[in-house]
This record gives sequence, structure tokens and C-alpha cells, in this order.
Amino acid sequence: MVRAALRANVWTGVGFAALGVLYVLFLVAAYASLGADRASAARDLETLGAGFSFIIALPQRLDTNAGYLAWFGYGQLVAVFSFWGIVAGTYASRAEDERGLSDLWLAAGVTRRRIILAHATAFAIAVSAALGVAAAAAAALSAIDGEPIPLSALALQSVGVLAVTLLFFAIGLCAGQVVSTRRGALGVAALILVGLFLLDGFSRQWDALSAISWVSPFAYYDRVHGLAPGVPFGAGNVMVLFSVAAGAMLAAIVAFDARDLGATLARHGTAGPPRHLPATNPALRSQVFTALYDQRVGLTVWFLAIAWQSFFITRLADPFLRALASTTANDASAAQLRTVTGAGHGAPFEGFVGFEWFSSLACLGVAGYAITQVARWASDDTEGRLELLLAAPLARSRVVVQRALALAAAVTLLVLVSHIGIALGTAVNDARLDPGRLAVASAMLLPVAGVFGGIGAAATAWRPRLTVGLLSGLAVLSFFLPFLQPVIRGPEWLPHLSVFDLYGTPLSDGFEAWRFGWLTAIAGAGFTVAVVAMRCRDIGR
Amino acid sequence: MGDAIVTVGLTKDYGGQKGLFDLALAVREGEVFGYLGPNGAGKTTTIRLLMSLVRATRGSASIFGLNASARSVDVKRVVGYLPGELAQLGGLRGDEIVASLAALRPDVDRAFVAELAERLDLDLGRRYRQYSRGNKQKLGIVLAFMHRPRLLILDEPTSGLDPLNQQTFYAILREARERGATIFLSSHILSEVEAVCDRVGIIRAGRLVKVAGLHDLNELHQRRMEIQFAGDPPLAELGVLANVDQIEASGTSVRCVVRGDVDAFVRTIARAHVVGLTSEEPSLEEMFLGYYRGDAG
Repeated sequence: MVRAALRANVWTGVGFAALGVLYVLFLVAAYASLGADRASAARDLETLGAGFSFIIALPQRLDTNAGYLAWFGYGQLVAVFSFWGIVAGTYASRAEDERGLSDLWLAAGVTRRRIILAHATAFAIAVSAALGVAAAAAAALSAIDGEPIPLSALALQSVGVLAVTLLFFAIGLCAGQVVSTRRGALGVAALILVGLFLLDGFSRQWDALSAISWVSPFAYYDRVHGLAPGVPFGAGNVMVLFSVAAGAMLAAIVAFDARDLGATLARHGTAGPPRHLPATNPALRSQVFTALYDQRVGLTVWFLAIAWQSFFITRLADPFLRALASTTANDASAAQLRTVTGAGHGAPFEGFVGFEWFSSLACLGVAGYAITQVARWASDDTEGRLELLLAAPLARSRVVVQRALALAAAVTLLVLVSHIGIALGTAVNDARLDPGRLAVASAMLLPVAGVFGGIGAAATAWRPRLTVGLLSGLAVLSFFLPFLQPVIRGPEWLPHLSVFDLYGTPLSDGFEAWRFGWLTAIAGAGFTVAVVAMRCRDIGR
Repeated sequence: MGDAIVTVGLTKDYGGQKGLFDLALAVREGEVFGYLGPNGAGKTTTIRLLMSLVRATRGSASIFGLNASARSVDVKRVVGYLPGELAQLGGLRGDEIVASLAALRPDVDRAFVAELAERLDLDLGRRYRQYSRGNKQKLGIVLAFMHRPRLLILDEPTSGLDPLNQQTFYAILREARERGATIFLSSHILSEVEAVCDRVGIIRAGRLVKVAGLHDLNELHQRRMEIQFAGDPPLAELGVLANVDQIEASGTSVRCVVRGDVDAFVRTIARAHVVGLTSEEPSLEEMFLGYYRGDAG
């Protein structure tokens, strides 16, 4: 049973391990690049860190490689791994129900308790392996840099991340007991995760919230210091996290025992009279709108995430730029910070928002959304939806066109939501962005999504499972490369390998036709190949 | 009337002797054609080729004179299709699925959809994932019939339906036929095909081995009988019946296989005192083996 559950976590485990290694590689290289400026860089970062304690815990021992990695690396990694926790937790509790796998397990004589425990064990193994790979990479890289971080210290910090991740896995398990769909459960668990993350972050600056910050697992993780030299580990906090995770898992087991398969813990009301007529919802008259309607819950979560993130980055710009101005203006670390945050490109506010939001996170966001759509297109075929659609008088090429239109419509909505977040963030900062360039920067996100959608649409015809992994790798690499090049002082052409580099910085530079041309050409080529492949290939499971 | 379906040398070769080979078939307009074969014989592959879901290795298929592959969109305007395995449609409600797919056809009558759903006792207000296997099959039937197509291509249509709903489905099928629809249905249940079809095509290991009318099918039909007599069984009398084979006696009971018409067999055993009688329909594969072994002999 554990082996079967492990199989469900293999590829995500590989993906998160790769992400961890990439991130660690980036940070160790960033630290190494500071060279003789490490002491002044530590002072600058501590000043900046104090200003940003509402997103990341106060740094400890930034004058050391280990302290830098603990603050910037594991401080971010814990949030990413927590997300993995809720994805895996809702899969174990709800997706198996939806696919009928729970029926099979129970019919084979496996108890409900064993199903949950097997999933928890498999997930713990996968997370430990991913963290282990990242820690080994960090140990090796830091040794090469000449300031080795002991593997034992990395292991201790990883235990803290594991505890938080398992706790969010348990939250995902619990969400699956009270919400009837996997996507719904994931949405609820994601809201809980974001809420607890923000509660911890804001409680660091607002005393009113500090009284209830104990509710957030991240508050306990803030007090886990496996890496920073000379700072007590905080074993008690890890114990609290593991205990709460175990308690939540126990609650999930009790709830799973109490509920019917396919149902939730809550009692359903008496069913109304049977319905025999087709729905009159006008959204269902078009396949494009049906696709959006079908993902309405997921899309709402995307909207909330994009709105929050765009507001957050824009809101962050002003205090960041003020803090940056107060650092030693001419030292190398401050110059590097200006480069990697975009604040040194054109007007600082526009540069920061343009790079941190549009060229990095917004590009990553729309690419991520496009990848989820590619995964959906691949499953349309394997799960028989495409067959049902093609039983109607609908040309195969139209299916591809409708998919592209649905992607474009959803990304347009995401971009509009991002606009609202930016408008609010700008208003709070009492700043101003050029409306023309803002519109261009927003509109240019459409072809970025198109590139991922187009490549995905073409590749799913041949290797549907591999496609999602490859696209995710391309997105992560595209995200990291522009940050990596100035840090490792890599070749000039290195960032040009990033799709996001092709997007450029339109908020600072305005419309550049060649960038738009390249992006639309790649997207167009992808969808054209997809049309040809769709017309030629066999459909079905 | 012409032919609704014509295939010429239709082949889909998956390699390793798997697939469909050189299918030459003509289904007349207005008839109910049963496509019979054991699991893995190539029934679904034939249907998927007709629906242009998979591309033929060679040969061609036409539906109402239109090339099934090149003119697939035109073909599907007049075809209703029920797949063998239903899609996973997740969170949408039954009525939303019907509305979404009905939007692709101009000729769906809402009242007819309601009539079909009501007759099949299908609540369209429930989410697809909450449907039982039988209800999913009923939804598939509604989707296939909702636009009153000229041709219905149905892959094992009664799979998952209880006996009552099977009867309702047969009634809906007969009404479609009375309206003039042609029906091509695959099955691995001989009695089902007998109940509704005019002609039958039998496929085995990817090759069409027989196309027959219902009368010819009777030849193929065989039952495994076990008779318990009060006294000595009439073995000699049974032995002379041409359509009774594999007679095995054990004390006062006799086991044998009866092919086709059972009238002579019943009259023969009725001359003795019959205490008990069981009749069992063998699996299609067993029947084929028996039939072709007999053929070879």
C-alpha cells in the first residue's frame, strides 16, 4: 500500500527536489558572489529584512553562508513545500475517492486508517528525500565555496520544513473530509495556508495579531534554527508541529471512518425533485465558456492569488526602495540588489514592479496557469472527454482553437485581476505608473501564456505525461535564469534562454514589437503544430 | 433504401495481430445491426474507426455515402454515439453536460431530452461524479439519442443497466428504428443481440467471420443443459437428435449441449419423468469455440 502511495508522489517529489536544488544553488551562488562584501551585505540585508518581516522572518547570522541560506532559502522553501503538502493531502483524501481508488482499496480489505497512514508515510518519505537532495546539494556547493555548511545543520533545518509540510498535508487530508471535490478541498486548504502564512507575517509587525500568531505553524517554524550558527535549534517548536500534524491526521482518520465514500462529513439535505431538462445556463452554449465554467472554483483561487500577489508586490515596492536607499549606496551588494530586483532599471518604482511582478511572478503565474490547462487537455484525452466532444459535429482543429481561446480568456481575466491588485498597491503607496506601459505590460502576458499553451498543446499529442513536467521545468528555469546570471556572473546570453526574458520589462521600456513578435510566433507555431497533430492522431485511452 | 454504413478493406493494425483487419461490411439503412464478438475481438476498434476517432491503417468507411474520416463533421451531424467507456466528467451536473453537448447540435429537442431522462429514471440535477455506473450509462444513452440521429452507433449499450432499464432501453431503440433510424450496436451478449437486431456480424480476433440473419444465428445459439430424471435417462433417443452434442450421463442425470431450436430436445426428454432441468447460456467465446470446432470437423 505504501509503495502504491509512493508512486503517486514520485514525480512531484522529483519536481520539488529539483526546485529545492535549483533554489539552493542560486542562493549559495548568490552568497558566494558577495565575496569580500559579505559583512556589509549582511548589514544591508538585515536593514532590508527588518522592513520586510511581514513576508519573511527576521534574519539570523546573515554574515554566514548558513544564516543566509536559512533566511532566504529555507524561509521560502517552507512555504513552497507547504503547498506541496496540501496538494498531496487533498489527493490522498479526495482524488482517490473521485477516481474510485478508495473503493478498490477498501474492497481489497485495506482499512481506512491504513489508507491514510500509508499515504502519510509515502508522503513523508517523498518530502524527506526531496529535502535530503536539496540539503546534500547545499552541503556540496557550500564546501566548494570554501565555507561548508555541516550536513547535520542542514538536516535539522530540513526537519523543521518536514514538520510544517506534514502539518499542511494533514490539513489537506482534513479539507478532503469536509469538501466534496478535490479542487474544492485544495481551494479551502490553500486559503487556510495563505491565511496562516499572512497571519504569521503580519503578526511580526502588528502587535494586535501577535496574540493569535500561535495558531500559525509558520510562527513555530520561525523559531526553528537548525542552520544559523550559535542560535538554539528550538526542538520544542518542531515537537509542537509534529504533534499537531499527528493530531490533524488522527482527526482526518476519524472523519474518513465516519463518512461515506464520495460524500462529506456534513449530512446532505433531502434531495429535491429529479430534474430532466437540460440546463439553461448561457455559459454552456459555448465550449470556451463551458471550460471556464467548469473550472470556476479553481479560477477563483487563481484570481485571489494573483490579486493578492500583484497588490503585495506593488505595496512592497515603496518600503523596499526606501530601505534600499538607506543602505550603503555604493557597495556591491546594494548594486546587486538593485539589479536583481529591477530597481536599477529606469524609474525605481516602475523598475521594481515591472521586474518583480510582471517579468517574474506574473509571467510565472500565467505560465503556471497555462501548464494547468495543458494538463487538463492531456487528461481530456485519457479520461474520454475529448472522445465525447468529437462525437459531436465538431472539427478537430476547432477543439484546439477553442482550447487556445479558453486559455486566452482566462489569462485576460487573470491580467485584469492583476491590474486591480496593482491599482490598489499603487494607491496605497501614493505612487503612479504610466497607464500606457502598464497596459502593454499586462497585454504582453497573453503571448507568454500562449507560448506555454502552444508548446504544451503540440507536445501533448506525443507525450502527454512528460509535457507537463517539461513545461514546469521550463517555467522554473525561466523564472530563475534572470536572477541567476548577475549573481553567478554568468555569460550575457544566459538569461536569454528564459521565456520570461523574451517578455522583457515593458513597464519600464514600453512596447517592443520584436518581443511581441517572437512570443506570438512561438505560441502560433505551437498551436499550429497542435492542429496538425490533432487532425492526424488517434483519440482515446 | 441504400446502405447506412459501408466499409471496404478497413484495417487498423496495432501490431502483434491486434486490431481490425480487412473489414468488408454493409449495414442497410433502417436496420438494427448487431456487432457481436468476445472481449478484445475488435468491436470497439471498428466503432472508433467509424467515428473517425482513430485513423485507419488502410481501407475506408463511409456513412450515408460520406467518407467517415474526410467528412467526419458532416457524418457526426447525423450520428448518435455511445462510447463503450464513459468519460470522466467530474464536477458538472447531468443537465449541464447535456446542455453543453447539445449546444454543438442545432437539432436537440429539450422536451425529448426530458422524456428520455424521465423514462430512464435519470435525475439530471445530480453531479456526474455522484452518478452510479448505471446512471452514467443512462446519461450516455440520452446524449446519443437526444438529437434523433439517423444512425446510432452504440458500443455495448446495456452495460451497467439493470434488467428494468434494459427493457426501457430496448423500447427506446425500437422507437428509434420505427422513426427510420439505423442502429449499429456492439455486444458480447448473444441474447441481447437476438432481442433487438435484424442482422448480426460476428467478429473474432479482428476479423469478421460471419454476417447472418437472426434465423442463421439460431444455428449458432447453443445451451448447456443439465437434466435430472426420475429413472433411467433416454440416452438413445437423445443420441439420435442432430443438434444435441457432448452427451454425458451420470446416474440419473444427463448433461449435454443443444444447438439452435430446442423443440425436438424438449419433446424427447418429456417422454421420461423429468425431475429437474437447468439451461445455461455459455460465454460467447465458448460458443465460438464450439461452433468453429464443429465447423472444422
